[in-house]
Amino acid sequence: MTGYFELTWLDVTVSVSLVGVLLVVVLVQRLGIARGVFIGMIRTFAQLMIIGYVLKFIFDLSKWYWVLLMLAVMLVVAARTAAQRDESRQPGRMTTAGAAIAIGAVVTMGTVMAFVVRVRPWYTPEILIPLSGMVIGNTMNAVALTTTRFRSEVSHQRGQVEAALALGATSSQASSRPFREAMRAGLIPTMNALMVVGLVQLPGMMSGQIIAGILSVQAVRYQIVVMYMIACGAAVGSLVAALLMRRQLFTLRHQLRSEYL
Amino acid sequence: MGDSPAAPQGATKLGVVGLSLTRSSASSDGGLSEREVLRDVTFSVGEGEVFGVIGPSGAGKTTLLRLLNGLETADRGSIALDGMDIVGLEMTDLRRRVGMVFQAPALFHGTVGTNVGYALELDGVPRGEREGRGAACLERAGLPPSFWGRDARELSQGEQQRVAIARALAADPEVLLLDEPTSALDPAAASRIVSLVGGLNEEVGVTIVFVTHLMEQARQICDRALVLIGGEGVEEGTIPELFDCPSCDATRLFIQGRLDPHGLVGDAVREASAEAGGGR
Ligand SMILES: Nc1ncnc2c1ncn2[C@@H]1O[C@H](COP(=O)(O)OP(=O)(O)OP(=O)(O)O)[C@@H](O)[C@H]1O
Ligand SMILES: [Mg+2]
Repeated sequence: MTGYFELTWLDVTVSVSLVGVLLVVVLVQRLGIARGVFIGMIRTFAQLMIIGYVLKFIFDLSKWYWVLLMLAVMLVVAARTAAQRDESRQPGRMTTAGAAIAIGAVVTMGTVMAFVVRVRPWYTPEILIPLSGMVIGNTMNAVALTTTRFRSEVSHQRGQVEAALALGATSSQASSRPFREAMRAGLIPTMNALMVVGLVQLPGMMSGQIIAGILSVQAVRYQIVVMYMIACGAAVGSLVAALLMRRQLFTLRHQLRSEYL
Repeated sequence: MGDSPAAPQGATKLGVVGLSLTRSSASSDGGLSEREVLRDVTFSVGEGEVFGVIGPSGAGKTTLLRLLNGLETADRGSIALDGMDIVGLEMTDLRRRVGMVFQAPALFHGTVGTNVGYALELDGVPRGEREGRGAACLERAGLPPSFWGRDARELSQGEQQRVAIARALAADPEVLLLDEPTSALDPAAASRIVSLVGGLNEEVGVTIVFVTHLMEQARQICDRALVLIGGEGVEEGTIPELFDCPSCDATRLFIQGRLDPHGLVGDAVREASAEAGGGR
């Protein structure tokens, strides 16, 4: 293989100096996030090491329940992350985020595994886990953006929302503008990704193969499928998140629950 | 107007009994503090009346209107519209029958037409008929039809408040709740809005609940009024009754402008009696 360069652990250790630059910038500028940078550095290392072993273990066993367990863990972490970005007092934020991400991911992966990547068995971990990971990660971002935006739009437009309610609008009618704004905010990053993919940043799946010196037409085809897949996940996740948020921000009697804004 | 008894003459449009609402809010020390925003408020508004709700800032006037319009639900007590408890009504129907104009106009983004047209759209008026019907509402609110296409944000405060009134009228309500519609206006604009409201009542026949903390406005257009202080309805009666011979010390203090706005009724009364005792 031409141009392939094998990394040793020593090389990886040297790369720590890159994070050192970050650490120095943070300390000199007194940004007050040095602790976070340090923890992030350690976590990147530990998480990738551990996940390497875990994946190898799952690939070797190739049992559907291990695969599903792995996906469930990914989902919980994604739901937590999305819920944490939403800084409100509302209970059940994690359930909302989890449900939206799960539905987005299941609809997308179900379609893909049934009609596009028709690998058998369906739980083939080498396929299902990385594809699901990409969908879950992207849907997580869409869901987090949608929920935070929905809440802040309703909060900013509270007067107008309540004025519409007071005129006899239902809660869906009264919140139609925040609803649209929230979904748009959730989907714009994915749309941008569809526009510039390959022009600025090469997607991870292709980069990996290029560096390994085995870029194939297969990788390109997979990447196209992946892009459409994450778009689908983001759309479904964002829609479900917006619908759930609307249910939670209003009572069944079309009253705004301002304590959650 | 005139010397009717405390209860309205004729049919009761809105009957409110024992309305109470407790609100918990986050206090500065991080805990939750409970406070009674309304306590056992009872009054009735007659059909076709202009009914005032007067009281100092923080008395619970806005909260009371929000309950009447169904934007919030009381912990205890009942509200009846034409003798029917509103709990049994479809919320969207209730709000079309009992319209509300807020303290701040809260206009929608877009033109005056967007605002007034929205109420008509909710009513199922076809697009083509909206401008014609809406212009009539604008006119009733004292604005020329040429305002239809104007950007709502570029209007003056007084004009915005009129658009808000026109928007509420477009739903053709039986009762119109007005929450200090003049609080952001200069005295001249304020008095024009007040006479507009009085005129609406006479011409359209809509029952009006008019919230204000200004005695003069109440005197100008209200038939009867409720005095609300510290979340309690301390007295209900005709305007002459309230102004000329208030039967309650808190009302008297309030009318004289001597009520501590943050004081509760109990304090006010205690203060009043202490004063009466010390004065001799
Ligand atoms: N969402 C809320 N949470 C907690 N307390 C509230 C809430 N809304 C209102 N209150 C409290 O209820 C009381 C009554 O408020 P309200 O707005 O009804 O008064 P108001 O009579 O309309 O006053 P103003 O004349 O200043 O408009 C106030 O003490 C206010 O702090
Ligand atoms: Mg108020």
